[in-house]
Amino acid sequence: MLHQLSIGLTGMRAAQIGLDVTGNNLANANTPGYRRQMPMLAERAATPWANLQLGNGVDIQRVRQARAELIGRQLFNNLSEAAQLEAQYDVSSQVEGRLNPASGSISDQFDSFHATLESLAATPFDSSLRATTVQSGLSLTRQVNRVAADLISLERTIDGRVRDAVEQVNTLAEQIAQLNDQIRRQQHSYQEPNTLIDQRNALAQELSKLVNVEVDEHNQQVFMGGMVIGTSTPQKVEYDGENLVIAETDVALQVGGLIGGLQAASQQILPLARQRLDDFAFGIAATTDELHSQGVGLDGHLSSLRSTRQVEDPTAPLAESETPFSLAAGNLYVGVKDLNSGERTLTAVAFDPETQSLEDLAAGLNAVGGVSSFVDDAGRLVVRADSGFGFDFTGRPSSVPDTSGLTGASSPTLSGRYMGENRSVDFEFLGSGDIGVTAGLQVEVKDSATGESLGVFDIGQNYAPGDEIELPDGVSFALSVGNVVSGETFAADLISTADETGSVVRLGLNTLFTGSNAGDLTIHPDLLEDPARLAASLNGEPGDSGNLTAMLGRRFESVQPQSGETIDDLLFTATGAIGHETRALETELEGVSLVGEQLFLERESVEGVDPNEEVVEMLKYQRAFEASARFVSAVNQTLEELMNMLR
Amino acid sequence: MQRITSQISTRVALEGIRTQSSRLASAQSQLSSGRRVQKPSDDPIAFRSISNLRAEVRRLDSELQSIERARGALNGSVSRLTEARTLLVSAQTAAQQARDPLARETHAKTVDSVLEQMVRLANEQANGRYVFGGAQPNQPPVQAERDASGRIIAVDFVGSDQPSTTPIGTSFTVDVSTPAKQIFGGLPGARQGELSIISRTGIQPGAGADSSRASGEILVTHTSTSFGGASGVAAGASSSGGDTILGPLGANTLTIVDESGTGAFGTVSLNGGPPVSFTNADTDLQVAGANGELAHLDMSGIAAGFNGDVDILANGNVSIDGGATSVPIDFSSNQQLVHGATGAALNVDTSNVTRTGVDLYDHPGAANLFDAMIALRDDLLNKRGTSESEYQEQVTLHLGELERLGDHLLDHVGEQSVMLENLDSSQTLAEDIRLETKVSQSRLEDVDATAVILDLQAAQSVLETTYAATAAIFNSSFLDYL
Repeated sequence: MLHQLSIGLTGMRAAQIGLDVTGNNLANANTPGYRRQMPMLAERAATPWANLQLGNGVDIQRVRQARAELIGRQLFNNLSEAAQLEAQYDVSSQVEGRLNPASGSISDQFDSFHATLESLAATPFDSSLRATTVQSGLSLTRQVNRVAADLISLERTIDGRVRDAVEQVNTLAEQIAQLNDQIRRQQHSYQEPNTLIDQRNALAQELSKLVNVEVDEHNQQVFMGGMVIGTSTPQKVEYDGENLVIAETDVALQVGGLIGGLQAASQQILPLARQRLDDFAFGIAATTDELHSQGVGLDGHLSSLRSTRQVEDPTAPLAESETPFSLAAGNLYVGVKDLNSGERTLTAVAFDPETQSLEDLAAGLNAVGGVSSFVDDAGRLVVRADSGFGFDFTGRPSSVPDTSGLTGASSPTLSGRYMGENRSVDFEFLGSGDIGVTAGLQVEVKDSATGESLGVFDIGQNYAPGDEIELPDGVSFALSVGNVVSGETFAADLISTADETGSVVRLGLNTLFTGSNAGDLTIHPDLLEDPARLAASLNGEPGDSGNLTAMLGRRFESVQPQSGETIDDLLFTATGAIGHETRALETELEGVSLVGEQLFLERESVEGVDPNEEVVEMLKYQRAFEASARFVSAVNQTLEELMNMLR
Repeated sequence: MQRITSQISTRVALEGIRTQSSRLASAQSQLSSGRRVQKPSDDPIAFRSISNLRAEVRRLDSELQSIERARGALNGSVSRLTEARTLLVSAQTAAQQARDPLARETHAKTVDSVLEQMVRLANEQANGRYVFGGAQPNQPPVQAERDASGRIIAVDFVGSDQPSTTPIGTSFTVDVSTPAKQIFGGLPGARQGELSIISRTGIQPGAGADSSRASGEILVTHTSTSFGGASGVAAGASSSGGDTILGPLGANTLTIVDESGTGAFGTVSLNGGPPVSFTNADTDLQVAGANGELAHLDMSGIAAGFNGDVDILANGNVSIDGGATSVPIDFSSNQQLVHGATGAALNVDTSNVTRTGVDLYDHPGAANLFDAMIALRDDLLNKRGTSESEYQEQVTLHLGELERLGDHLLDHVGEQSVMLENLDSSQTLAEDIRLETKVSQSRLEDVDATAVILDLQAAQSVLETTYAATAAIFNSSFLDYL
């Protein structure tokens, strides 16, 4: 009978443990990382009696955790991936926000600047509108500068966040290692370290939000970016500015999670955004300045210029100085106007940036009559008109060509602005006689290099001396009263691009902007000081807005021949393309989060605590206890009956 | 079958609430801002289109502003040109009414007054710019030169030759300020008429092309006289400055009759003019030809017994700038005369020049409006000493000139009116395009209020349902039944 009491006792004990486990499950139903536990009941070994095998009750072999290991591993990866994407999305959103504020964005400023340019093109002599245009340009460049600075600041913030995260990684790794040690100790003592494993996994889950984490529950190991976190104090990791590395060995870890996301943002999103902004800044500077440098302001000529784009070594070949602006060998045509006589001369200054320096360019310019040039102590090129002269880079032809080859009394003059490709032409008289008098007197115009005839023109009886004769592409010539001699020639340079070398824009001479990237782009200080210097005109007259019209037209022309991209394209790429990337990250993040949510639910479905289920379990064990107690009572009564029989 | 744990219930409830709250927030943001796309990532593809459309709207706004400015400028120009035409008609009327020589001075004052108004009109400003300033709209385009009495004697075009243009979008440009020189400065070369000369000296139009565009005077002066043969006659003491005969050798003839047979006395006549008695004491004898031409002779050395004709060579100079630049007459069919100051050339036939004097030349259609009016006024005042027939001829020329210049003004009015019509068409087109662009932009960018409100209501309903479901789930427990 005593044997039967023992059986009842095991049942009561098992039910009690079952109630304990159920109670614990209920208590931790909302504890993060808690995995429900289940008492594993097992029948005790039977005792042979006669030809029977009689049971000895029940044993609690162990308290098992509900584990969904495969889902758990996926969830760790998912958490890491989601954290990585979230970090990237967060940075991308911030970049997008900085590039596209609700008002005053770069696009808005660019449109406003263009609108003022268009207004100015209608009234280029309007001083207040000139000032407005310059200020509008300044607002644009300031916004570009501001965003560029914000992006740099954002990069610093990210760097700080990464370093904070690395500290957390080290702390968590250390805590995980301690728990691993305790788990191992308990396992060696044949205990179930369920709680410790839950705590360890909760920390690993936190860690997985910072870096890639894998948990091997069989061997109770945690892998962080490929590095094992065992039972001993783990090696410290640190961020070297580019990678997450093991401090002692400098071995780079695979990154994921928040750190991976911030690293990707720092190394991809931000540099790309800055590059795009730089491309826009450079694009607008290069295209606008190329035209602006060849125009003139209200004065109709230039008096003094000082370069604004720095050259490191004025004595070294200019091409060796770092610059995004393209340079080429060729001529720089300098127009010089005698302000008293109005006579204008065009002089070619040959310059090869590959072999010649800024000092050489200054010497070349200095040799032009009416102009002085030198490199100042700060390494900047200074070009000044001599007293009584003005200069320009418009490329307009000399008002009086070189007539050294003429012996007749008639003098030629040139006017207009040439719009074709740069070329030199020769004018050859076909016959001798008096301009406007001699029947059949003609002049032939030929391309000096190719000999191609541009036309034969009547300058005899049917030509009124001084009348302008139009040549192709915008230039006219005239011949005054007097005689000419057959076979004699005079030459002229027809120039549409005054600076074949690119050095004027490179140096920031008579440009609208200074700087060449988003960080340093600004309006040329000369224009801020005197908006009348805004080079709206091509011919020097205050009502001419030919140069402004050309600048406005550039907005719709391709900036880069290879890609065919316009300034608008560059602007959109700088400010709008981030939207595609932010949206893509958002979509990817939503997808990963949905998968994570599903994985969580699936894991929770296996590992989580269902209170109703536990209540049923509780009732089950309660009833089992009652039954076992009743059984013990029944056995006890039976024993009493037996005892009473003995009494 | 999936187990539903308390955390699943909580998570599902929270996720549902979060999703619906997010929908509500999004709807609220869209409704409060009125925009569906507020940042590129809201709809990256649409954002690109929106950016382009927004830039297009701004461009069209600028274009419309440019059209408005151009219209304002052109309207101002047209009204002034119309006024100029009216003034011109009043000058023409005054000239036509000046048939009576006694009334001419009064009419000259009318013309002078019109001239003053015309100069003022040419220099008028509107919105801070000279209406006819062309590419130099900030400085007066014409400048009047006045004599001591303050009367205008010349008007110079000191402004730009080039028009001021306004770009209308990227498609075309409009000349909003035609320079005064194009308006008042005479007709374009193609409409220039043949050279006309009121010749008193024998000068006729030459064969070359002229660059002197206006009317003017040809000053023909005498320099020297010499005689062919052995008659013994020589140039008199006053010959150089006093002779009016001109011509190559043989063009003028002196007929000498030595009545004394010793050269002591006789008669002499010039070009068949009345014979004049002479003695060998005459060293500066004035002889007049049949047409009034004069020669001064030294008869002291007449060969004894000379009777007959003597060929005369009478040289002179010719100038078109009042003598500032004189060249010898070459008596050719085409001699080019050059104005010393302007370099302008005038081709004349000097082969038949017979006497000194001042000829009046005119290129019909070439005079500028101011010069034509000055010439008309001066001829009304007869400042050039013309005969009545010459006066009539000149006034007829001037009236014709003013008529052509009036037509030229009307041509400009017409051109600018056509341009105004073009601007109207462009404005209508730009406004239509702008409207369509705004509609397209709005479709892409602006919120569809109905759809968003419906979405907001749907989100609200779902959220309330979620609340209710969550409450129901959490309110019921197995424990309640124990």
